Amino acid sequence: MTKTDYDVIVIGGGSTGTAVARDCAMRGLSTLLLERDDIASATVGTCAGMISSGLKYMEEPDIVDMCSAEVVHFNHIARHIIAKDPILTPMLEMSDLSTGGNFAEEYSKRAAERDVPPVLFLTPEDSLEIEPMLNPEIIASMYFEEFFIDPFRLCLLQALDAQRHGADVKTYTEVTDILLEKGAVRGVKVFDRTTGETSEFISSTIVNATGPWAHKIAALAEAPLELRLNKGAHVILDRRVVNVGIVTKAVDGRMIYLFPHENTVLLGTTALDTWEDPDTLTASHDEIEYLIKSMEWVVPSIRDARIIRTMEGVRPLIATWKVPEDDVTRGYEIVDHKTDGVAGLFSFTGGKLVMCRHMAEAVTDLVCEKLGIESECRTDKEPLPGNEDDVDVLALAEEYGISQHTVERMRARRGTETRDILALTRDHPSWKSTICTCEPVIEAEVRYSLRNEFPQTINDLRRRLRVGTGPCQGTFCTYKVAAILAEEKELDSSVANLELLNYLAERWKGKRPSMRGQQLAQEEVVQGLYACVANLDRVVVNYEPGPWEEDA
Amino acid sequence: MELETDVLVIGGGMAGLAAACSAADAGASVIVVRKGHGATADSSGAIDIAGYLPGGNTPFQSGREGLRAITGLFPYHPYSVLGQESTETGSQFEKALERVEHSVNMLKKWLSGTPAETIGSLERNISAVTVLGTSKPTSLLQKTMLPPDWDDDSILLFEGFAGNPDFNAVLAAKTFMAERARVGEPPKKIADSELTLSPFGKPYNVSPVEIARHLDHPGGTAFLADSLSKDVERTGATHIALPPILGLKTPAENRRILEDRLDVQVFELLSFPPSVPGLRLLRSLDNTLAGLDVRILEAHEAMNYEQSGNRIVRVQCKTHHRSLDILPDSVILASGKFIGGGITGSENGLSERLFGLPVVSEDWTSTDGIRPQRLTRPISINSRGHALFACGVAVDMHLRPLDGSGNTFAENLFSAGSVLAGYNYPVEKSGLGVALATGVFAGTNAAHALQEE
Repeated sequence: MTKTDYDVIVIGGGSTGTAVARDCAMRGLSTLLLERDDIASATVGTCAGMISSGLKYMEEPDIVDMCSAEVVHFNHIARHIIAKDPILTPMLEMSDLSTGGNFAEEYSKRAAERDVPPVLFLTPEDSLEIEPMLNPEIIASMYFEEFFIDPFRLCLLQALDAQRHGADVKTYTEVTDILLEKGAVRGVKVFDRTTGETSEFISSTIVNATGPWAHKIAALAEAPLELRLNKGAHVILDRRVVNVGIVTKAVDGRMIYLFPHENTVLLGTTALDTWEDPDTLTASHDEIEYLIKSMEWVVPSIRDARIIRTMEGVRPLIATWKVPEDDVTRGYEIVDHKTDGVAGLFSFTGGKLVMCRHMAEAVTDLVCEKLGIESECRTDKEPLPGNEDDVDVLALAEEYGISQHTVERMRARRGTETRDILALTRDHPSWKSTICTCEPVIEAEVRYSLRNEFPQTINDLRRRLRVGTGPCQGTFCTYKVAAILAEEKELDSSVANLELLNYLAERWKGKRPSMRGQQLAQEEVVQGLYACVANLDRVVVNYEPGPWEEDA
Repeated sequence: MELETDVLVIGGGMAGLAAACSAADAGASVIVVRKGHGATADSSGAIDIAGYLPGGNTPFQSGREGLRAITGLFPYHPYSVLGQESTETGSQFEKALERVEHSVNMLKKWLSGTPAETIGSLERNISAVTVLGTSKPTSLLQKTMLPPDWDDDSILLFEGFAGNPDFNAVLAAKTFMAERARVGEPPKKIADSELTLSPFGKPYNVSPVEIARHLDHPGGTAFLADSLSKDVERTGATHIALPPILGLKTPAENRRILEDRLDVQVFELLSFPPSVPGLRLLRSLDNTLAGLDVRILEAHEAMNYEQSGNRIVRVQCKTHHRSLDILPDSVILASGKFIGGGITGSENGLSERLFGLPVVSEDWTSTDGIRPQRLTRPISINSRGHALFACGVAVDMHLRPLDGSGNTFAENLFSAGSVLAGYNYPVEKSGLGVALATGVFAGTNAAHALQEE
C-alpha cells in the first residue's frame, strides 16, 4: 500500500528542497520530497560549488555572518565532499587595488571561525610563484581561501539522509496541480514521468522549493509570486589551467572567476535577466566570449585550453527591479501564502547554495509551528552519510590493487562508503574495471549507485559519479554505462540504446555552443563511434528531441 | 637535413597509405610523413564504400548502388569528382565505379596474405555486426569479421570477457536479437556469456589488444578454445560472436583453431577504439609499403612549405629535437580532418592547417568566418549528419586543391581522404572507401605528373 498522507510535502529536489526534506524528516515529520526530474538536475547542478563566505555581498553584513556560520556547519556535516581552494584576485591597475579594501576587512573579520587566514596582499613575485599562469604584468594580488562542495553529492546526500529518517523521495514525479480546500492546501496532484500515471498525495503543508519555477508552482495554488530570473553560464575547460582560483573584473566591471574543479576549470559566470523556460537554455556565443575575453587579461594562456562544454542555470533572485543583478540581495525570503488566501503553502525566493541548510531550518521552524510540533533542528550537528569517519585512501588502494588516484576520487564523493563499494569487488573482481577513464570511475561504484541511489538515467549517474564529465565528455564511457544500466535495471535493448542517445544528446547540449579547436576532433570521434561504427543514427528510431532541441 | 623524393605523402592513414602504394606501384619514389597513428588505426577496420544517403534510412544494397545514387545527386562528392574525367553527361557513375573498383582490387592485392586480408565487393553490401549488437552496411571486411551464414537452427553466442567493459555481451545479444526478430530473419536463438581468462593475471581493465596479443602466442588460442568449450556446450552454440580479439598477427589461423576445436563458426564484431582490426589494417598497409621501398617517417609533422611559381618545392617537417626538409616533385595532402589535424577550426572559422587552403562545406560553399557551431545541428546523432564533418578542401578533377578563387593551388599538390570536402562519412558510411579511392587516384595522378615532365 503506497503511503499518500504526509505532514509535509516538499516540492523541488535542488539544494534547498533536499535540505528541507532532511530537516523535516529529522524532526520526525512524515515527509514527501517530489522532484520532476532528478536530484540536483537544475540550478544547483550548474553552479561552481563554492560555499561562499560572502565574497560578492560584503555590503550585507548579516548575510555575510550567516554565510560564514554556514560554512562552519558544512565543514562539520559534509567535510568528505568539501575541498578548500586558495583564491587570488590579481590586480592590473591601481583602481583594482582600491576596491579590495572593504572586502579584505569584512572577510578577515570572520576568517578565524572558518579556520582560514585573513586576506593577504601579495607582491607580483609571490603571486606568480603561487600561480605561474598569471599575467606577469600584475601589480599585486589579494589572497584568500574559500570552500567548495560537490553540489550533486550534497543534494543527493541530503535526500538519502532524509530517506534514512523516514522521508519518501520521488524523482521524475512532476506536480501538475495543488489541491485546495477552504483557503488552504490539501495536497498535490502528480504525474509520474516513468510510468505515465497520475496520482494524489495529501498534506496540509507544502514547501515550494522549486527555484526558478517557484512562481509556476505557486500559480497552481493561484498564489501570486514574483521572481527575478537571471541566467548564468559557465565555460568548462579540459584541464586545470590554473591550480588556484582566480577572481577578476569582467569587461563590464562585474566580478567573474576561474575555479579549478576536479580535473577541469570552471570559468563563470554571466548574469542575464531571462524570461525563457530554463529547460531550453543554452549558453550563447556572446556569453562564452564575454567570459574568455574577461579572464584573458589576467590568465593570458586561457585560449590554449580546450573548451569542453558550457553549462547554464537560472538564479531565482528575489524580485528587485531597476538595479543591476549584482545589487539584488543574495538573501532569501520565505513567502507564507496564507496572506494570499492559501494557508499551508510556503515558497522560497532568492538564496544561495551556502544558505540551503539555513533556509531549510527557517522553513521547517515555520512548518513545525504550524503543525504544533516542538522539535529542535539538528541538521547542523549530524553528519551526512559518508562523513562518519576518516578514510585511509592509501591503505585501501594497496588492499584492493586500485590506483590511489581512483580511490581518492571515490573518497571525495563517498567518504566512508568507499569501503563498502570497494568491498563489492571481492565477489566481483572484474568490477574494478575503469568505466570512465577521465574521472576515473570503476564499475563497482556504478553498480553501487544503481542499487542504492535511485538513478534512472545515465545523466542521473553522471550527477552521482561524475561519469562523462571529463575531457572526453562521455565519448568512451557512455556505451559502457548504458550496458551496466541496462543490466542492473533489466531494460529492453531499445530503451537502453535510447538512453545512450539521450545522454549523448545531453552532453552535446553543452558542447555545441563552444565548439572550436581540439574539441572539433573530439566531436569527430563521437560521430565516428556512435554514427559511423555503431550506426545509431539509423538504428534508434524513436528518439525524442529534448526541449533545447525543439528547432531541430 | 634535406631529403629528395618523387612523391611526398603527408598523412599515414588509409588515404595516405593508399596514395603511397599506388604512387610506388607506378614507379615513383615515395616518402610518407606521419604525425601519429591517425584515425584509420582507430577505425573498426570495415571498409565502407557507401551505406546510406544522408538523411535516408534505407541502406544501399551494394557499393555500386550507392555510387550511382551519390554521383547522381551530389556533384561535389569525392566519388563524383572521381567520375569527372569524361565530359559526357551521365557517365560520371561509370567512371567513378571503375576507379573505385580499381582501388578495391588494389587494396585486396596489398592486403592479400596479411593479417588484414579483406573480402567483399561493390556488388553486395555486408550487414556487419558491431559490439553494441547493432548492424551496419559495409562493403569490405577483414576475413575474420564476416558474419557467417546462419539458418533457423543456428544458435549465436555473444561471448564477452570479464574485465573488458568495451564489450557487454548481454546488451549486444539483446540488441541483435531484437533486430533479427523485427526483420524476421535468423538466427532465432541467441545466447550470451562471459569468460574469465586467468592468464592476464588480473580480471579487470583487460584490453582487447592485450587479449589479441595473447592469442598470437603459442597455445594462446587453444587455451581460449578450452575455456570456451563449456559455454558452447551449455548453450549449444553453432556460431560465436567475439569482440575483435583474434590476434594482431595470425587472426585467420587463430579463428581456424577455435572453429576446429569447438566445431562452431566464429567471427569478430566491429568495435570502438582501441580497435584490433584497425591496428591490423594499418600495420598490414605499413608492411606492404615497406615491400615497395616506401619510407614512412613516424612522428614527423609537416609544418611549413615553400612554393616556387606554381609548384610546391619544399616541405619542412618537424620531429623530436630536429627538423627535416623534404624536396618533392609532387605532394599528396592526406592529413585527415579534425582527428588527423588536417583541418583546424576556431571561433573565427575553419582552415586547412598546412597550406592555409580555404575550407568549404559539403556543397563547396565557403565556410570563411563561419563559427563551427553554425555547421552543426541541435541533435548530436542524426541521420542527416552535421555539415561540419563534410567540410574540407575543394579540388579539381585531378584531386588538386583549389584556392579561394577556384584555381588550382599548385600544379603538383594533390589531396585525398577526409581532408576533402563534400562527403559526410559518419552518416553515409563511406569513410575508408572515399579515403581508399581518392588515395589511389591521387597517388596515380602524382606519379603520372612526374612522367609528364
